[in-house]
Amino acid sequence: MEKDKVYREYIERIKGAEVPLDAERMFGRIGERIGRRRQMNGLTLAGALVLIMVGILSYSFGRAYFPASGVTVSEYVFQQNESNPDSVINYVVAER
Amino acid sequence: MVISLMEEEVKIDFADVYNGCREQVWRLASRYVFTREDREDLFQEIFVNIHRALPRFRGESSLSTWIYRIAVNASINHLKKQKRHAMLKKMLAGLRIVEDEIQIVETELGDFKPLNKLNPRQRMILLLSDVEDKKLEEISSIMGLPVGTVKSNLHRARDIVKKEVNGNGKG
Repeated sequence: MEKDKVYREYIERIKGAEVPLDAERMFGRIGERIGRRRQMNGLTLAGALVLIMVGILSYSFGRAYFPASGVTVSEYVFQQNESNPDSVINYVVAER
Repeated sequence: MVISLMEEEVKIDFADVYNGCREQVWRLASRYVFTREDREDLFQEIFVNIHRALPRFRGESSLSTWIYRIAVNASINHLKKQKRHAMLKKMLAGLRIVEDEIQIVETELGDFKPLNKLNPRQRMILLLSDVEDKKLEEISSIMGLPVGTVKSNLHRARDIVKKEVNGNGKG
């Protein structure tokens, strides 16, 4: 079939389209890329460690110099309103 | 770099792997993507991936099939990434400019233009089957796809390329 013949000729052209490889240069480039990737991995690890250290130091500093600061905890007590049993009164009894 | 395999005590040197299969990988990369920059970028990416994965090679399949598997995955990912970039470019630059760019790229493709009409998976299957002369079972093993899926993708890919080379393609 004509269509198949044209297709086979096309595939043969693709097979024949060889592009020369500069193997030495490419090997050098691959080495550079591997080196860069290792460097990036090292930097990422170092960055993560620095962030963790900053976090720990900030927390310690905050606890040491501002012991009272932190989340305000409120305790609520719900009491029944004696004059109106259907409603409740709530109020804060302690805050720290 | 020398890697010792625990099970078989075989030592694999990265430079040996490179020297042993560079031509095979280059052939695949240079038929899968069409500009010089892309070919070199993909070729390097494949060997960086091989270098990273080599310590995990356990000899369950032949080294050649294992390398092909890495090359095929890297190639498909490369093309998908490229298409995502092109879409982003399209969104950012505006339709008209990008259409002009696509026109310019297509004129530079020459013989590869029909292959450019295939999606990344179809393109790889067609290359492995019809250009590299690999059997369906081998392609199925390399790509991790059922033989039926390989067959249907190959059939579809051939249809598209046949239409293109016979001048019936829409594009």
